[in-house]
Order: sequence, then structure tokens, then C-alpha cells
Amino acid sequence: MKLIFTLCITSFLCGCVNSTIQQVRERETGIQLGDSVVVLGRSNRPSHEETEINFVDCVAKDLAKGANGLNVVSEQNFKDQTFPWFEPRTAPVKVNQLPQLLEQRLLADRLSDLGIKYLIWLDGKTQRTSSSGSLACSVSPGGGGCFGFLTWENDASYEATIWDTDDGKTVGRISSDADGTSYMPAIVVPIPIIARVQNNACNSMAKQLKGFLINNGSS
Amino acid sequence: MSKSMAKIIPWFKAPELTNGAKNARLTTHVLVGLALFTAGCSGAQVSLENQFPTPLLEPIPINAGIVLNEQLLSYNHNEEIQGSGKFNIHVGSAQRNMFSRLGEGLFSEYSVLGQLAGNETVDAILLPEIMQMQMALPRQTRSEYFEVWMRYRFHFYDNEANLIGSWDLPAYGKANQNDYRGDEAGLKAAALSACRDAMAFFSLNFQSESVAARWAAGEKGTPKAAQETSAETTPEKTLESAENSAAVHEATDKTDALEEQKTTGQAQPVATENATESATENLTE
Repeated sequence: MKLIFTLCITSFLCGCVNSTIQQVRERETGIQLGDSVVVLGRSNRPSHEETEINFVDCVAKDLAKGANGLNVVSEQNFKDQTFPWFEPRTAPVKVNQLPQLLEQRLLADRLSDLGIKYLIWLDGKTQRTSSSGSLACSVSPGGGGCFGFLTWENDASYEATIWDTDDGKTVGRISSDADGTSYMPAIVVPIPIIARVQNNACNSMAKQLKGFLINNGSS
Repeated sequence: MSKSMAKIIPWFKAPELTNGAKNARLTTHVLVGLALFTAGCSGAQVSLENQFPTPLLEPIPINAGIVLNEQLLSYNHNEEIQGSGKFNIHVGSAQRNMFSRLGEGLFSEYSVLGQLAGNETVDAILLPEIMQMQMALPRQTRSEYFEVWMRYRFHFYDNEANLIGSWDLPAYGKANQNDYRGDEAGLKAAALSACRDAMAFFSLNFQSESVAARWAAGEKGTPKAAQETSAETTPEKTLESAENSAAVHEATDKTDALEEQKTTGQAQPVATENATESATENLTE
């Protein structure tokens, strides 16, 4: 009973999110025993934009979860193991730079040791597109409270580009877009009704990526 | 008795407290609230004691001596930002680990030296120096990023401590404020990113940099060459003039920033480093 009540409250307090996934396959994919993938956030210089670390972590965790979870090397571990080749200043921006990079014997050996089959580059971010309303709180020795109404809209737009380290080619692209509106009415106590836009984009992206890489005919 | 009672009476029974106890509790809560409110405006103390990775490169066949002197190891960047407080980044604490990892990855053999002096046990000597450091908070730049800029100067000496040449290396690091809680964590991430950037730049450009390549090839920096250099700028003067030029540049930047501040109303940092002060003096002169 408690569980049903908690689920009802949770679903009531979560705002609605619309999400769209698009996939472009350029080559066949497949994961063999011992193959690993790494999820990397784009942070190249001189671009001012960076993909959020928590989004990269979320996709990596979701890819590793479940019965058909993939071997995922963490971004930080990968960058440390391959230092200095995947730092913001030095990381390859285009796939045609990859074969030249893999001519570095030590780097190629290290990727082989880690079993890296696919590099997944994540590009994009979550932004607040609009907000309105007002909320005022006051505190006095006799008590306190808030009154008002806030609303804001977030938009998450990410694209994953998958590189095959064996042949140095792009095997496909997946884009995940999500948007949703959050509300916070307050009559004495503020009640946040949050649209989990980034989390939704992450889950959709990870699910699609897993199907794309395993390529069991379902995608 | 009333005091002991006050201690055990739960918060929701506060109205039953005596007036004195109520006032004391109210004062305490106001003070705690004020402390929490002002905590966000009190700057940050950042110390970098992280481990850095070893560069994955074919080592250069040289036995290098890397001088890590007190000036480098105790390097502190202090900056006061109006409305945000005093910031201190102790970047010197990261240098030993940084250059040990660089030595391991880049050279076939290396040893750490405490000061610059002729040393027959090494083939050549490298002396790194931090010339300049700057930082910016997201609220200053109206962006989402904490940013740190550093400028290293690497002095290349032969094993008799004769200067062959120097190499300036800029480094930059940033960290998204959405990924970190508070100024301290954000600045630490940006400073670490700048240190890694310096290591990456140094590692990958070492062989293509003319001075470094000559140093690695075993070129000798003759005392005469050093004297000739010193006729224009002695090593000390080189540093002084470099500091001054860097400081003039910085001061010009600050002047530009102040100009911008006038137009945008944006808070700008007030650096307290000697270099900036001397530059300002120079500009005034």
C-alpha cells in the first residue's frame, strides 16, 4: 500500500517530458566477448561548450546496466590511461584523425589492452529555455512560509557519434532530444513538480545506443 | 533547573521556554543563518594534491635533471574578487607529482633536483617556472564556467647549468559550474584541468619545440652564449623583464577588463600578485 502511495506521489510530482530519438546507421556493428566501449563528453578547445559530466556518467552507467550490459570503461580512467591523447586540447575532433592517432604504437596497444571497440562521443547540453512566475518566502519568530508559483522549461539536446577503433570510421549517430516543463506552486510549503528532462534524454540515449551497438537485428 | 530543562525540551516546545532562553536561541539561529548566508561570499581555499597520469609516449633517451625549487613548489595564486571574497589556489602542491609523471613518461631517466647547479650525473637540466596565473568565476564572465589560465616558462640548461634557451607554455582549464558544488570544487577542477593541459601541451610539443629539441640532442649552452644573452638580459633580468612584460600584458588586460566593467557593470578580479602591482607602477611611470 505504501509503495503504491509513494509511486502515485512520485508520478504526480514529476512533470511531463517529451522525448525524440533519431538514429543513423552508417556501418554494421557488433560487440564480441571482451570488447569495451567508452563514453566521452565533447570538450574540445576552443569551443566554449562542454557536455555535462553527469550526463556522460549517466549514459555510461545505463549502458553497463542490465542483463545485456556492455563493458564500459569510465571516462576518467580512459583519459588517464591514454594521456595525453584525449585531453581537450589534443583529442581528435573528426573521425579522419583517428587512423593517424592510432599509428602511435603505445596508444594503439593501450586501446587494445583496454579492449576498446567503440568510442562514443557525446555532444550537447541541457538548457533552460524559459521561466516565469514568482515566489516569495518570509520567516518570522512566529513561523514562516512561501507563497507563489514558478514554472520553467528545460530543453535537452544531445548527439552521440560512434567511432569504430578497428577501421577508424564512424559507424553511426544517435540524437536524443527531450523537453519538459517544471512547476513549483507554493502555499506555505513549496511543492516542486520537476520534469526530469536530462535524465529522460540520458535513458533514451543509452537504450538506443545499447541496441545500436549490440545490433541483434532489433535496431 | 530551567537551564537543564531548556536543554531537553524539544524544538517544537520552544514557546514554553523562558524569554531569556528564547532570545538566546533566536540569536543563535540568526547568527547561524547569517553565517550560512555569507558562506557563499567568502571566497575559497584550493589545494591541488591530486595524482596526475604518466604520458603515454616513447621516452626520449636522455637522463634529465628536473629542478623543482621552493619558488615553484610553494606557488600560490591569491586574488580578491569584489563581492565574492578572497580566493587562494595553491597550485605549487601539484607540481612535484606533475613533473615526476612527466619525467617518467617523457625521459628514459630523470631525477628531481632541489636547485639549479652543475650536475655531472645528469645529461641536461630543465627548470620549470610558473610565470603567471589568472582565474575567473562564472558570475564574472556570465558564463557557466570556472576558468584558470597559467603560463609556464621552461628554462633549458646543459649539465653545467649554462642556459640554452627558454620556452613559454600557456595552459588553460575550465569546469562547468553545473558539475560542481561551490566555488572551491569548481576552481579546483578548473585548476587541475589547466595543469593537465600544461602536461599535455608540454608532452606533445616537446620534440617539435626548437629549444627543447636542441636540449634533448645534447647541445651545450656555453657560458659565452649566456653572457651574450645577459648583455641584453641576464637570466635574472630575463625573468624580471618577462615578469614585467607579462605583468604589463596582464595590467593591460585588467585595464581592458576595467573598461569593459565600466560598460557592462560586471565585477572583475583584483589580483594581489606582485607582478600586477609592479606592472601597474610601470604603466603609471
